[in-house]
Amino acid sequence: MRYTIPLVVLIALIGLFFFGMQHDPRLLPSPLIGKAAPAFDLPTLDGTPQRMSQADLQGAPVLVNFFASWCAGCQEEHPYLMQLTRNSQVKLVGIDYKDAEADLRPWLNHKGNPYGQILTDLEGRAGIDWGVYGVPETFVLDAKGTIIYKQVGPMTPEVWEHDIQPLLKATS
Amino acid sequence: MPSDTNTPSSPRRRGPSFASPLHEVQNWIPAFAGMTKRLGAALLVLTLTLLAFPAAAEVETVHSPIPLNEQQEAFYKDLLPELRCLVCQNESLAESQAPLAADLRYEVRGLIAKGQNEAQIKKYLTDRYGDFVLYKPPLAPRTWVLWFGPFILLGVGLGMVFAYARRSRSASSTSAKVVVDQAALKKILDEKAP
Amino acid sequence: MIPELGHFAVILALGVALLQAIVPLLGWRRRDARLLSFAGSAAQGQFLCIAAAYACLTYCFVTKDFSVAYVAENDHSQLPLIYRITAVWGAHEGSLLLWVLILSGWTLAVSVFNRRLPLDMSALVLSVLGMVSTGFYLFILLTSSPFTRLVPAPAEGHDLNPILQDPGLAIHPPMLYMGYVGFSVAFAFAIAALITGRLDAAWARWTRPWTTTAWMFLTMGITLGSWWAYKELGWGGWWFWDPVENASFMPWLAGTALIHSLAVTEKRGLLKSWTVLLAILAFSLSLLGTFLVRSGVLVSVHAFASDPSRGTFMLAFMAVVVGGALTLFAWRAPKLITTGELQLFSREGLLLFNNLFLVIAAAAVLAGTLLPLVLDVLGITKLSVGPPYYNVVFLILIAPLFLLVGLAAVVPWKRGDWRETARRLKVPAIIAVILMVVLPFALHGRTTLLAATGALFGCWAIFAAAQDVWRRVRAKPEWRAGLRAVPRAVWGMTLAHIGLGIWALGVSGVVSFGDEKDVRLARGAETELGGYNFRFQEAGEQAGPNYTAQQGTVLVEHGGKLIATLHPQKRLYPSQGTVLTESSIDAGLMRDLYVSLGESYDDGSWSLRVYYKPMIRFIWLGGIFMFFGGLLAASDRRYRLARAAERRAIEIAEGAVA
Repeated sequence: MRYTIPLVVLIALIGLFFFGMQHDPRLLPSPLIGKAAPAFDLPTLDGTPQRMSQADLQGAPVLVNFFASWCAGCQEEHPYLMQLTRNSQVKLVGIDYKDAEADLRPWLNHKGNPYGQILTDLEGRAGIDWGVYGVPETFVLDAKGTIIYKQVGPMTPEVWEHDIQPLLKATS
Repeated sequence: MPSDTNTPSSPRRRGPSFASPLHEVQNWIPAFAGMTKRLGAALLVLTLTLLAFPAAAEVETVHSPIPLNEQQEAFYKDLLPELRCLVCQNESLAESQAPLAADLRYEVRGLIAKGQNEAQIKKYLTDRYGDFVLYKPPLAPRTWVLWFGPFILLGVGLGMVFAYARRSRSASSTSAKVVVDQAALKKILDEKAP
Repeated sequence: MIPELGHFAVILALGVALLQAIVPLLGWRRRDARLLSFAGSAAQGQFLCIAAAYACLTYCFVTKDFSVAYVAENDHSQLPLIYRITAVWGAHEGSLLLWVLILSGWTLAVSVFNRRLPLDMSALVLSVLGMVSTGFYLFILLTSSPFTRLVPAPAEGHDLNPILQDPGLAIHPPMLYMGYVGFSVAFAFAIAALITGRLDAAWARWTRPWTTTAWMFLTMGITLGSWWAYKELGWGGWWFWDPVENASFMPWLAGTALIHSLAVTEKRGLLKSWTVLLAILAFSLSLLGTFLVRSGVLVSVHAFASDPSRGTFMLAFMAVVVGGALTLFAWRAPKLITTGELQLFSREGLLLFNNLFLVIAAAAVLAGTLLPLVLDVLGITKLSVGPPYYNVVFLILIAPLFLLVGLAAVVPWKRGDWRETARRLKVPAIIAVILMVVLPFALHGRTTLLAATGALFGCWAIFAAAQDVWRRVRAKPEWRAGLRAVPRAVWGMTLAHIGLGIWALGVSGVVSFGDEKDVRLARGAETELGGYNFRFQEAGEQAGPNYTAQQGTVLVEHGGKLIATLHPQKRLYPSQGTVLTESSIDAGLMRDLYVSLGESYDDGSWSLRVYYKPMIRFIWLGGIFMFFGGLLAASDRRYRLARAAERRAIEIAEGAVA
């Protein structure tokens, strides 16, 4: 009987690896999900209003997208974000992460601006408070300002349709 | 490695040579690919998928260091290797060259300067990034197998060793015949092999 | 044309390996000597095929044939010739080819040196090795061929990752693979023993030199890797408990246990099924390491998920090979009767404890490596297991081994005598206790708990091992005759155990007394560390064969005297746009002074990392001692001269079974 123990251990390990291979080891779940959006107070790009805080995100569901003009993943998701804000009611707030305004403006002019509002986080402090570890990252907030979903990496139609939309429907 | 001490306080730009697209970093060297990866990751800067040379470069904020007294500095040095870099993931915050790691080093120094203790600083980080950021897994039911497993296994193993020894002693009296064969075998082997 | 030839040679090797796996099995079923002896010829033919394939790939690299995708990825016209040769194993596909070349080399060696074995045993061993080779050839051909063409061919290659352009790394992978793959021989012997049911002292004697040889290469591979990482990565670390390092360390622990349990099986005929299990385990952990490294299942920097077909293939292969072996084990091992009495206080009893601690240490490393994956798969949480865990749990588990290592040479087989043991170990124990107190003060001027423990353990291991040789030498009237009278196997054991002691001194020394500093220095400014003055003199441009470097000059003074001029560099490799820090080290047996270059500032100053690393060389010196210990043990005369004796022994053993 005890001679079969190694075999049992092996079978368990094979099973573990089989399922393990379907997970991306780099993706980190956010501990912020289910919690209120972290406090911040950031200047806006267009200056109206001058600054915004977490309180300004309440009232309706909103997507908070950390992005930067220097980030390749952001270029990748940009056309889809444009399409998303054109076709749906969703509010999109961009937080420009560690990016110079001089770089951002031509980028937006060239590619278009999907954001209802852009906040600038030059020092990346808000990024730390939101647990951002690699732009682009997108947080989904419900009307009460609670974080209900986080997407690491470019936003895609699949993520939007399969994960985010049902969540938004369920909360509203 | 932007050092924590004595760095200028103006925002600087990361040169484009750092933000090169990371070509498949070899992870084949069985033992040390981890380190290869670390270095590669450091070069990878912040993005998972840098497909092309970015048009602009990331603004790297370099702060002037927060001064710490000697005791705090020692605490800082002890604490930092226990914190994992989120970007290059196989390095501690002490080692990482990623800008986020530099930012977090700055934050940790700030928290230490404010007099926060280890638990408070770790909570600050886990509130944002989860347990992943701690190289020392917390003692909780989900990690019991890690902290106690080896010692339970050791207890079981010791029990098995003692049981085996007892069994072999009681069995050895009944198998005299084979013991003789073994002895003959050994004798021949030893004769021929000086 | 050449790449196609190479590809064809791999296919041919696959065919031969298949025959090598199947024909001897048939021969064994039918008791047909001709079929059995085919195994040896097949092994040799297979080696020729794969050596040809490897030569083809090397040729492509040397001639910069960028029409081959793998060459284009890892070669560059500016790359120095030596690195064009080592670049062959610079990434997944080519390193896999090196792996099968080495596996085939081991198989060839078995076919040559095992002629003294009974034919059926030797044929079955080769058959099992053929099965393993078959799997790897399929892996190469189905998922990872290095010979695939790239159309159109690029004008320039992408270059070997600059971090691999280092002599240390050039020899690290082949050494490591020699170890990894070498355990396949012990594995094959174990399977053959399970199939034939013949597992006796002679079997253990055949298996021992192969296992020791594999172990010694693995030891050297890990040591080289540690040294390379220290010197190349720029932050002075020598071991990181990275999952990928753990992947090489677990087979080492299992292999170390196997070496010791083989001794028990040979000398006392005990622990048979345990030894077989360890032989399976050591190779399985090698395969596991390969899987972990190449499947992307653990955190890896691969920007895009690595080809999932590779991971799936490796997993299936592991399931077949290890699953098959363990099924055979579950079926056959209960029939391996062990006879003889085991006293716990005897050499075999102590070796059993040695095995217990080593295997559980390996289990702790495995748990730490895999628990994050388990919790992630179960969707519970994502956490990290790093040095703070291993440094506690692993050290607790290996501490008892130091007590045992001192006893090992003194306690005799069958039954130990406490009083005799105490009498003989009195002197080493007293020396160790004295040095525990004195050594840290003498070397570093102060002490810590860790330093004292390390000195105690290290000196105990060294002096207890040395006293055994000392006693043997003293037993002869003349010391030269005495030295010659010590068998190589004893020398080997002694050296390896001394190596362990040296390692302990190094680790405790560098961890306790090492120091580091981040500084920003203007030209001419200086900083002090560990009693040494580091003056930053200047920084300038320096051109290398395929890189340009910013090179700093740092003068190190001690007691007012200039003792070293260091040139840390920051290199830019334009082919990949990669920047690497190249540290500069003034190495010494008792201390390293280590400087690496950080960032430059507009005012001409630089940030530098300065390290004082006392006794860090002892860590690798310990590894070198273990390597030569293994070499001596594996080349002991009794393995070479025992042919006739073994043949007779086999006949007797067979007679006893019948």
